[in-house]
Amino acid sequence: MQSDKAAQSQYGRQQTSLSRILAVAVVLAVLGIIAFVLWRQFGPRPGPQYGIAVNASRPIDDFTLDSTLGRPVALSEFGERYTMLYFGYTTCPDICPTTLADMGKAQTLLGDAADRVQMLFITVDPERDTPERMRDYLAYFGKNIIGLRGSLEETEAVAGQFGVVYQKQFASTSATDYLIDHSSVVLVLDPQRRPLVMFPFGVTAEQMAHDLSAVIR
Amino acid sequence: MSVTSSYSSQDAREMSNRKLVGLWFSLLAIPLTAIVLFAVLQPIKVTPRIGLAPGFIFTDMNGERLSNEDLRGKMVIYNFTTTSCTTPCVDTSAAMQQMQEMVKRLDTGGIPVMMVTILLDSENATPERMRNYAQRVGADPAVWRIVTGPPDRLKQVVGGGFGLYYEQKDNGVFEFAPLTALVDGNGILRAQYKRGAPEVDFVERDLKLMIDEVQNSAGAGGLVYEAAHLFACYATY
Repeated sequence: MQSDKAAQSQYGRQQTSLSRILAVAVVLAVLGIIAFVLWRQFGPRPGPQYGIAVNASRPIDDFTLDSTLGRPVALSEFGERYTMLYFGYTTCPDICPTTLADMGKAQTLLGDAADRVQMLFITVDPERDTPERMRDYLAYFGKNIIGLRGSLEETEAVAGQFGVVYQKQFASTSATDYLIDHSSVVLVLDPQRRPLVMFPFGVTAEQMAHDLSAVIR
Repeated sequence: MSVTSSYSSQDAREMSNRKLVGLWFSLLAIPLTAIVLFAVLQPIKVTPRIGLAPGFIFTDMNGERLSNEDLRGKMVIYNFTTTSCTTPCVDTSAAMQQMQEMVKRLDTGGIPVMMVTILLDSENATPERMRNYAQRVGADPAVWRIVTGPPDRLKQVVGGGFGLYYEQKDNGVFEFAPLTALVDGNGILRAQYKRGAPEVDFVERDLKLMIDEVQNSAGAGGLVYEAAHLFACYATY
């Protein structure tokens, strides 16, 4: 009788101890999940491996420019998405097509996360780049690249905000025969329009996609 | 005997429960304490990343072009003044001279540090006046460039980009609050000093922090620095 009680007591203790272990395991798992979610949402972002971490606190001022969508587009319209911006022009002989091709490919490589990134191309040559011309040009590099075009003054003000500069280099006396020296950086903004990452020229599509996957939340 | 045994079993259970509660609190308290200590004590100090510094293409006293792209890879101390800064204009040239000495003696580990003075009175800032100004303040062109640009661009760059709002009165005098700014090699605005005469010690401290960050933030160190940025205070001086 006593041995039955002892066995029952032993069994009870084992059960209690098992349920405690289970409780601790569940609590640990829940805490782990909460910590992971909080870390992902509010913790430090892993620094980009190939780009330059900006993580600036001051957002870019909103602006509205004509677009290849056939209507003016404001930067704030992409509020839910990350934006990836590049300043260039359609007759750019080398850097622009290379960079745009990389951006287009990076978007494909992003897979499902591509829906969270809007690619923007802002022309630094508004005198020659019409929205129609930009639409035809950008179609070579991807479906999701929107072209933006402002007046000379608007373009200068918008580019200046991003630290982007450009200058005409005339090849002849003709007013339309020129190339444009321009900053070749690709900038990524978070949904609050805060600069997040900067890709210098030469970062490949795979590297861009890798870094974007790491910083997108 | 069995009563004693029952008591000791109950005590053991209570002890065990207390241990369990203690364990749970510890599990919560340890990481929370670590985060609070990291945030409060700031074992890794950083100069905050405020925003992108504005883009510009200006010219110096010799008519040579200087753009923000030319300054990539260099840490730059900017200040803003006029060629004839007299009261109510706050003259920051003495502080800039001290900063030039500081920049020359600072161990930057090979990271170049430059100073750029942007003259707001571009209509008065002829090459000759700019040269006179440079001579008066003792600017060494290897370290300290003095530039200006068209008035509308200056407004965009200095007013919009650096956040220094200035106004030219009818008598031609420029009114503005003094400002010194620090920009890193990636073109990111890192500090703004709004005192009349920025203390060289503050600028030197922030430059050293930026140099340390460049030197130590490779690999896993980068994540620690990102965490430090998360808790950085965005103070101005």
